[in-house]
Amino acid sequence: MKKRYVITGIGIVSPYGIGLEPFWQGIKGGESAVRPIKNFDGSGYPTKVSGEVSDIPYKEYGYSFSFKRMPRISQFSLLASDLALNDAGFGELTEEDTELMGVYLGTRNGALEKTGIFYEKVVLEGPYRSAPLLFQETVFNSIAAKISLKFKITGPSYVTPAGETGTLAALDLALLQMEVGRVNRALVGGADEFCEVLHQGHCHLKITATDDLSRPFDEKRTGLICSEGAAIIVVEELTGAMERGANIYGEIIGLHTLNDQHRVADNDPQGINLARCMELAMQEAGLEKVDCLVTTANGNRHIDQGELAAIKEVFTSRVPIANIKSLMGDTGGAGGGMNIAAAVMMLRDQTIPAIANLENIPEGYDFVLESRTAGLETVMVNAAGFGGNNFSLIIKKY
Amino acid sequence: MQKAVVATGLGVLTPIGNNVETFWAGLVNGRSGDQPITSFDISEYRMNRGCELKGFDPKDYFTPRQIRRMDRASMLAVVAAREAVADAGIDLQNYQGRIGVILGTTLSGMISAQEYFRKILCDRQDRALATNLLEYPLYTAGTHLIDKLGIEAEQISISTACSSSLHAIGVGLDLLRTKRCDLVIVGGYDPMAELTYAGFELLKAMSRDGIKPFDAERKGLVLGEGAGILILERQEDAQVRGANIYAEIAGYGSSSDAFHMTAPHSEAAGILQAMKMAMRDAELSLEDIDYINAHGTGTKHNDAAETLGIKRFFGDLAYQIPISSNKSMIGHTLGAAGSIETIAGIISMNKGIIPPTINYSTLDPECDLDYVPNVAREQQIRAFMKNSFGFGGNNAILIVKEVE
Repeated sequence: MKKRYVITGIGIVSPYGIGLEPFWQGIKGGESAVRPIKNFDGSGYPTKVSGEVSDIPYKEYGYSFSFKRMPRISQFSLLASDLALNDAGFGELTEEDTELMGVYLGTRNGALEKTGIFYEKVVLEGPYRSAPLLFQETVFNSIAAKISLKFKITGPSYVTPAGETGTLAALDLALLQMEVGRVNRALVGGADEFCEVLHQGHCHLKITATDDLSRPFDEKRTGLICSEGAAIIVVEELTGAMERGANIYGEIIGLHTLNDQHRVADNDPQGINLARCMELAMQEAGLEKVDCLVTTANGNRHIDQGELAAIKEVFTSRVPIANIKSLMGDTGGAGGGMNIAAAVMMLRDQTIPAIANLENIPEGYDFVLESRTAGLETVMVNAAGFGGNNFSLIIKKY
Repeated sequence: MQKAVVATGLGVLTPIGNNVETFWAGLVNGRSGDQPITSFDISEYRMNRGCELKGFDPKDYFTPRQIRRMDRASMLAVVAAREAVADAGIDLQNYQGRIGVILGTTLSGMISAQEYFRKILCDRQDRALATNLLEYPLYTAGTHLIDKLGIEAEQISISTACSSSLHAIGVGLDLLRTKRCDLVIVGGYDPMAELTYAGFELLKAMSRDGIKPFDAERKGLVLGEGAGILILERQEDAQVRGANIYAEIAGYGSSSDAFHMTAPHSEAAGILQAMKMAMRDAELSLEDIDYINAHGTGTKHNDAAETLGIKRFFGDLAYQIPISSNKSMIGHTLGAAGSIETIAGIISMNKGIIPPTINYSTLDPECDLDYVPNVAREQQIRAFMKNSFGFGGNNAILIVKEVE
């Protein structure tokens, strides 16, 4: 990267509630956001819990009833964008702001619930009984288009459907476009919704935790807990942020991505290319080590194993390991954004939150089991998805 | 001065040809791919037209085991990519770890998702359920491509509806300019899927009366399927290895209308913004553009908005630039459209022949430019503009020119 990029705004809609503070207080306090499923009757499924977002009091945020009718993923991502823009001091956007701002949104499944309903009607009732307005929601980029439309952002608008690495893929694209000067600011993040179709699919794939515990890295883990939400950040060039006197959360100093060369639809348990991402991100940042690693591990056997192998490969000395999915589950495309938000808050408070539920501990690692104060200058954030996509990002205290 | 990026390999699967050569022959001869749908049960629909691939047999390309574990969309992407790689005459082993795979799609494994849904809804569960699910995500085709080509690569999937693959080419351009990659495999793919067919039918966007872009009697689009993949590299690298160079990818523009989810901007403001970015990027002036390969879907409002955008951007020059819509022949291939049509534009430039907009008969006062009606035209092209517009007011523009 030739230019310098900083994070100046964060908007979170998570199982902890609305906003960055409830999210961070929950994580920092070691409070689990995983609860019995409320969206539908989960009692018949092997996994009966999730981290769901409670009904959003949309009126408090100035939205009309039409907000309520949108897919949940759009409710989350619109509100999180709103919060991020306000947090960054872009409550009012000028035409000059909006032309050089891009929207980059990652997701795993998009508006899956409405997609399911649309197709169900086509199959069970016939094509002409389904609803055209529902069809629009099935189009993957509708979630980003809604953000562009709502905030009148006329710069580029993309959806990066990179599964669990959605946010990092979005950030990667945003940085590339800032580097070549297509935009100078970016609304970047990820979102996913939890619904019965998704849960059913995950259960058919046998990737969910059958003991209802989110316990990445634990040797007795049984799978992941699927959650939902949106995490959106504002990223801009340092010079622009300084000119407008913006509050700077942290600086992005390294990002690298490389796909696994393993089997399709399976992650490399040796984490070879994730390790290369971590090495190359550090090389780009000019670092030999980082002060903490926010891990991507979600309780899936191969993803967890791959990350542990990569950590052993890359770090000669022990690096403190954090994992917030142990507290809130896997929020899909939003997960990377949640991890970035947590990393930024760790740098602010100089605190590493504890990993929950980790009892059967793999040997040879520095898992943070009790929340810990530490001198933090740099934090690495990893992302690995079921498509074998790997990302490693380094954020520095500004 | 930025390093020039060039296209050195092309591959397509289209409703009028399953490789670049037959596709081009179809284009210049004005062949239509519009026929009754065969890939799903169309009997419940009040129309039956679609532009499906003809004579595409997965067995010609994949083993039975691979076929069991691949969605049709992934097959399309991989087959087109293999043609492009062979065409480029490149040994991918020399580029390991420096390759970018950038693919645009709107549906990707939707056919697998549909199968899953149908089984669940009709209570017919079988062993293939897990495969159906694994093949659905929109990054899966890219993962198959990386696997089947045996490459070490980074992957970016882009989904911006009908403009997806034109953005993918633009992103590939930036990856090469910034030297993050030394070679990119870019483009898009989409299959014919019932979900989209039902959706467009419900939106009353589909024509029962042929595809007639820019014609006064145009009634809508006809869905298509296919894939278009390009190999891009920096010109200096291509020259060093003695590659056949097709064209320079000179500029890319991207914008959002931020106006309405489905209706185009009344003043084509977003289209203008993207065209400006692309032309600035290409460092060309308006007079340099000899041809426009249109988005040209054949719907009332989109064709009018595109024409308005061209007129507002080019001024009086707009009347002198030939414009044609490949969709009049291949239908709307959604996420594949931008890259398939870019490939068509590149060959048009190389051969000095502009494929026609077929089915054109009646002038529309709102669409009064030169759409190269019905018959291919010989004309020198030094640079052309490729337009793609997508749902939600998404705009992508690419500028391609002859290699200096």
